[in-house]
Amino acid sequence: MDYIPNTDEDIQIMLKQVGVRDLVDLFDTVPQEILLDDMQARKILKSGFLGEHGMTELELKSMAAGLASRNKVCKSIFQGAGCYWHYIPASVDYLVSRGEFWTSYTPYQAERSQGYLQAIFEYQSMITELTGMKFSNASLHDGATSLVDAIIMAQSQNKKRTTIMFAGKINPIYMTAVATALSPRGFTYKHVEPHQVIDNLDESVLAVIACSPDFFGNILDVEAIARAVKERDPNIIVIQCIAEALSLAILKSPGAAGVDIAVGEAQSLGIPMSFGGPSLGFLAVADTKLLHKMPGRIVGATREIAGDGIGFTLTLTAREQHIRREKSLSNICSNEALNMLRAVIHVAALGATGLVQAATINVKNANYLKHQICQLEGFTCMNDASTFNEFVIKVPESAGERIAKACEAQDLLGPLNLGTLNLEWKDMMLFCTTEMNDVASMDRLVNICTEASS
Amino acid sequence: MIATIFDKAAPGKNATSFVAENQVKDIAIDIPDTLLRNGLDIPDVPEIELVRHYIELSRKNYGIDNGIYPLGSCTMKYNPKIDEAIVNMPGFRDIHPLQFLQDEGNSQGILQLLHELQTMLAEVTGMDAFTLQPAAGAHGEFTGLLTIKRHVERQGLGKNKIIVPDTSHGTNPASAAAATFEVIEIKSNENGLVDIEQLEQALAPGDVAGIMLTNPNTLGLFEENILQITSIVHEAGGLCYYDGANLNGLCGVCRPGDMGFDIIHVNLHKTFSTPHGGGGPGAGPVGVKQFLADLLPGPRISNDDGKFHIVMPEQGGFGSIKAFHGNIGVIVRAYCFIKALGLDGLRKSTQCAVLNANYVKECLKDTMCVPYTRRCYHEFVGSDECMPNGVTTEDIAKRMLDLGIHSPTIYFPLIVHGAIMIEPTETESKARLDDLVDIIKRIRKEAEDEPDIVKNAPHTLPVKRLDQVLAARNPVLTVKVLKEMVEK
Repeated sequence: MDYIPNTDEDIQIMLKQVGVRDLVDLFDTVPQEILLDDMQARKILKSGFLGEHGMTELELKSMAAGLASRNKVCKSIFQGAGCYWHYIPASVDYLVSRGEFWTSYTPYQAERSQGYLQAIFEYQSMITELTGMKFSNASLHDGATSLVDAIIMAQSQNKKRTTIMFAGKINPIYMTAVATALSPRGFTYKHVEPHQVIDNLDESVLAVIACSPDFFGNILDVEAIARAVKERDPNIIVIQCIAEALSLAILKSPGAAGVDIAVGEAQSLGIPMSFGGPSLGFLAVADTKLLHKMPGRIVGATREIAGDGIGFTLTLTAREQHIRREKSLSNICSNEALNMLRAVIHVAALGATGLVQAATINVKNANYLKHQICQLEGFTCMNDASTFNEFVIKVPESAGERIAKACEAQDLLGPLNLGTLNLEWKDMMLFCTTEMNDVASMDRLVNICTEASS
Repeated sequence: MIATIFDKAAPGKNATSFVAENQVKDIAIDIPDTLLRNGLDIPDVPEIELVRHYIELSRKNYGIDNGIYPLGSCTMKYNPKIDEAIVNMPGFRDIHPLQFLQDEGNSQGILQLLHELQTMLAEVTGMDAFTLQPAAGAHGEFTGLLTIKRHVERQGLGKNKIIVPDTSHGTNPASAAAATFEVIEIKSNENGLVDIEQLEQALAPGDVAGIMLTNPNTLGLFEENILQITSIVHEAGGLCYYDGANLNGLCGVCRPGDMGFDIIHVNLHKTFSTPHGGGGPGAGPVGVKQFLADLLPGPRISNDDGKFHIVMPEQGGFGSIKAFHGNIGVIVRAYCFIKALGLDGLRKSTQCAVLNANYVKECLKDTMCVPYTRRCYHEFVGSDECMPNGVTTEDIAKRMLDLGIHSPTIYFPLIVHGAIMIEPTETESKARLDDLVDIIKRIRKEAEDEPDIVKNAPHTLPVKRLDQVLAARNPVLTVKVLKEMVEK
């Protein structure tokens, strides 16, 4: 099938108007030796995945349903590590599915895009409130790419320095993306415990990245780190990397802690897991100097040229690739706009009351589970700070495999075996709980762990 | 007066609440007070007001579902609704990206889909290996340029320049700079095509790592000397990068791989019709020829033993360019689109996209200046140069909004004065195209008879033309600052 509305008759009229005999003749400036006729085109189909004739809608749906059925939808999920299982209010899906939002492009034509522009403006307002920062952009791809962009922004402030210091545990999946994306820039990466930051500072340090909540779920005293770093050397850029945007509902904001740039993952604000994407990276800054180095779209309010009315428009575009080309600090064009829209509606649906409730239950569920598991023989909690909704347990040798097997058999997604990401973390498991995990399922996981230890 | 969501607050009446179960209700929060926040100024909004607010905002917006959206280089084609139904199946929507680590058997459906898509993209574009990970076109460009960087390092010749034509998308030079290349821009010739002489001059010093080209180019013209171009670049030891933003002009009809390109990204949200969503999410898979496969970052899916596996690049290659496996929600939709069409549907779509653009160009050639008259492909570029009474491209665009349709891309490419870049796509009917033509003809007539109507447009939208200079000079970027602005 295809989605072409023109009839054969329409096509004939149009061909005549254009002055060519048939559709094939339209390609008359393509060199003959690379032009595929019907027969030659068939030869490119080697795998058989792409058929000659396509499918009807009914065939497509049943084929896709077959694929979907071979992905297990777990009854309860205890895995986070950068992607979180949260409740999404029905109003979010309902509202974002409006075609006026869904099938629109970047709101370049402001007067016809006031709806989307206002939604972005509201998002910027929510993110600045949640982060306590002054300015937010309109979205980046995910937590990992936001961190990449934050480091590039830091570099724009101080081109000679080359050391990036991480305090707390950075998600190794983020770290791979950072190391790959920034590989031509020659940075050195140092990973230190939060209390070791000051002892490790030297004149090469460009930025200190405080991870909080970090990969292990730890909540750092970011304010203490930021204050100490700035006292030692105000030129160092302090970045907070936030694993879980929902945590901002109850934790001290990055702005109140005195950081320069706040970045992180906002998938937890109304975005389905979808096997890890599309997601939503947020980025917010504390001052005007950094605002002008910020990547991505920004929406501002302004007045009519000939009138008193107020409206919204994309602004500060002199930062962006379509204006500055190679002089632009970032190449981003398509971003994660629709997920930003999900986040705005999700945050508005929960309100301050719902956000605080949700965040609080995340902490309580994690504490409930952590407390039970830590009491098991041979299970040790590896966190040395309070945690948000994730925590790490060292389990008895090879218990991890038994836990995974038992969870799989009971249709649970069990804790993440960290040894699969880093050999230093052998026998450590990263647990995550959200408002979605009920007590019964947590108790089942405790039973699985109990049996795995014996 | 503008009412934002913050104006809809009704404390305690929020739409969605959560209450802890009995067993965890009394669990203590053990986080020290000094690490907790004081207050959160987010409005509690009753569900009915929440719904009305965002429905109202949607009414102040415009999508393909409302009408024609002829933005050049953006490929705003119809987005099939079945693809939405499929991506919302729990088996695609509610799966965790690391669940395969517990047991690979629990994710075989999605891995098969990814494996099939990476293979189909390779076949359709003439490449050998694809990663689906990059999140957007520009993100794909950056991924491809990192691959070129690694290739140059392996060669050890220290090449550090990337050539882009002056018609290229802004992301091309920006991506090259982000990968720390130096950018050389070459001018187009009088036909709007790559100037071979200039290209040879740029290559002469021997320090060029590669060229980035989009074909058809942003004037909508096929680079007729493409085989010569790629061969000259290869002879000079450079690589050829294909910007897939304009793939809708040739998909299934000819292949970038056969033109001599070594690396390509594909904008799934353009050619393969996933919704643009107001600026994203997109997906920008990157494909390479075999000799670069080991340098390409990002996961790939293998199928060696009847089971599908996620394979990360080998030692010496790069890791990932973002978290997890790519924008899966977008990838699933694109997969469905390709499967629905099949090869015949892809070819017919390309042919009709090219027919539609040529038809509109033909109908408008006496209404607006069309500086390049060669055969156009998926799009063409007009100019405001012969508009009467000083009517500009911006005026025309705003007046089009007034008359109920979206405007084309304007002021790009930069080499055309007051560029008006029109890409109708194959999913618009002749009747819709005739409407578009009539509207532009009407504006032309208004420009002659009553130019103020055009110059002061729009007249029928929620706001009149906005002051962009004020917006940038005095940034008002949050609701709090907006309140101060209103009070002034």
